[in-house]
Amino acid sequence: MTTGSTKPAKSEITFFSRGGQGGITSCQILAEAAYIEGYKDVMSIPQIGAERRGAPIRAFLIISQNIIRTVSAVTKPDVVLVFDEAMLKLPPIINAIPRKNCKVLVNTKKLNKETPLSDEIEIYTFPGTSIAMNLGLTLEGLPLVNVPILGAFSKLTGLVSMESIEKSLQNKWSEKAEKNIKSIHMAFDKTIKVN
Amino acid sequence: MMKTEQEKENILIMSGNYAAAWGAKCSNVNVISAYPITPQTTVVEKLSDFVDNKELDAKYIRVESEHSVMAALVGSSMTGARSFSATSGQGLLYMAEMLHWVSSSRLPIVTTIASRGIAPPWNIWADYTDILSIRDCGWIIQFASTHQEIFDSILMAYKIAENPEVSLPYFVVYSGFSQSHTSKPVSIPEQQRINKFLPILPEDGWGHLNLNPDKPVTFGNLVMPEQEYLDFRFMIHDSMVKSKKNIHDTINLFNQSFGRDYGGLVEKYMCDDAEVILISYGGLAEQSKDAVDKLRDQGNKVGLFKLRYIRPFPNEELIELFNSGIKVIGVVDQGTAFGNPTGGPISTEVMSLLNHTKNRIDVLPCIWGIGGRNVSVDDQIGLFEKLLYIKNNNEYPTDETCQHGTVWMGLKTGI
Repeated sequence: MTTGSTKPAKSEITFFSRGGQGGITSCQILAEAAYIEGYKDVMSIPQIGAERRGAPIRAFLIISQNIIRTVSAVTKPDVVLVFDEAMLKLPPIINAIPRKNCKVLVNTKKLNKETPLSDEIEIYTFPGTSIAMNLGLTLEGLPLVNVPILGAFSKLTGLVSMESIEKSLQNKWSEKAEKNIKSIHMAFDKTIKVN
Repeated sequence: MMKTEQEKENILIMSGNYAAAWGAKCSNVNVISAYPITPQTTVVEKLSDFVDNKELDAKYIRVESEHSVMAALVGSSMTGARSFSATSGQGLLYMAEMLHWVSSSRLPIVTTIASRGIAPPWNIWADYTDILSIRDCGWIIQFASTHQEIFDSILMAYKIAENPEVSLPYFVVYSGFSQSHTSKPVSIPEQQRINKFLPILPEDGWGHLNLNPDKPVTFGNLVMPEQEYLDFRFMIHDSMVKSKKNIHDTINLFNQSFGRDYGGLVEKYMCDDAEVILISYGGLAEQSKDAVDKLRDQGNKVGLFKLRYIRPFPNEELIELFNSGIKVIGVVDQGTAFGNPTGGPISTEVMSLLNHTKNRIDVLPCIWGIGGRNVSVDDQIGLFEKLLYIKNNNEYPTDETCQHGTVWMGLKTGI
């Protein structure tokens, strides 16, 4: 598979999740899917510090039609994925979301009107938690939105096709990927633009 | 034919640490000794998986400290076993005594370093001060600045180290987190082809030394000042200098076998017509190619001279550069050498070769990326602009990051 000429030369994606939500795994799966899609180079960059369950975790992904040479931090992401709407109350996270030229995806049934996101960016939501609960995608009782969010990502960006994400999931979990594949399609269908 | 062979390579998205573990696995190492330390730990964890899953037939020895890691490998390598470990930062420093034991015993052990800052205060991010502070212990030191290069370098490392003309231990070095924990595509060739490339292990240990309980011999005795101690020291240096030929031969053979050319002890990028050149090493040197490209687009004749090896030191390549007519050079360290002439270990060493040219060359030393401090492509362009300023104005910059003749990129405190 090769990438279409309409796709940008390079895209940078930031993942905001909480420890235990699988944000870093999500970043890794999308890296593999983007490589399957035909991008020349991909780089997943987990932010490492004192990780613990529930604490905010960042991961970055660069997908490029050229060789990636950078080892520096992603500071101007094109897409931001937010696993938990409550994280938008945290100043370090709000400050890391660009004020323009950015698409933000939030896992929520309905976005809080008070959310301090810029009016000049595109905002999307998807009900990841209920999708995960309905399909039984849980870890120790907690819903895992890290796979469904990839379906929503595909819908709002078109950067990586659903087929490539499916292949990446099959490579990782083989037959057990079925529920996860279902989840990305449900998320794809339920992703809406709210700004 | 080469193309179809390459198509058989298996491309996996993996971390720099996993690339190191795969490198050791595909080198068919016999013995791994391990003690965990961030950011290296996942190298030895992955190797433990390989051994546990029977994907790698090796003896895996868990010990109580990094000093013991290297002591265990001294023992295994003395029997002729291909031996491997990985470490970082404080762990490497704790190994220091045994590192000399290895090189002075001329044992071809390969160890990977995921470099990190030295405490206190604690720091686990990219900073080469760990490896740079033990750069004179008789090990070959090579920087791998891409994920693929980490994997490939380990195969080449054993080929070089185990050559009887070299018989020296070998460090493959890459940066903590920015390389060790990021994931990129890495191509793994078929094992059969790797086996053809790897050196053949001798049955009776290394030619100069073989620990064998059936033929007991004492090694490492006391020698008196008038005996061969001095001569042994010279032979280590002599072999290190002469290993350059072996390094070139191995890089060429690797390129013939796998179609990836690492060039030599240095990599020159856009240097041919350059008016100012940056000399650096590691992941940030690779990134500065993007800075060179952007500046070239604006019509600036700039180039990058990447040091792949610092032991042996690429004297000949640097002297050739100095005699090429270049007027302004920047030399960047990602590590510190407190109180030395520039504050950076490698800038001082590069400048020590300036007496081999009659040309007048302005050299600006720089220190960047200490303790994982972010260095963006724009920051690197800023450094090139300082070099262009020197060329155009014939004077050195004097902003607050320029201290004692060296640029400390991102310095906050000033003096």
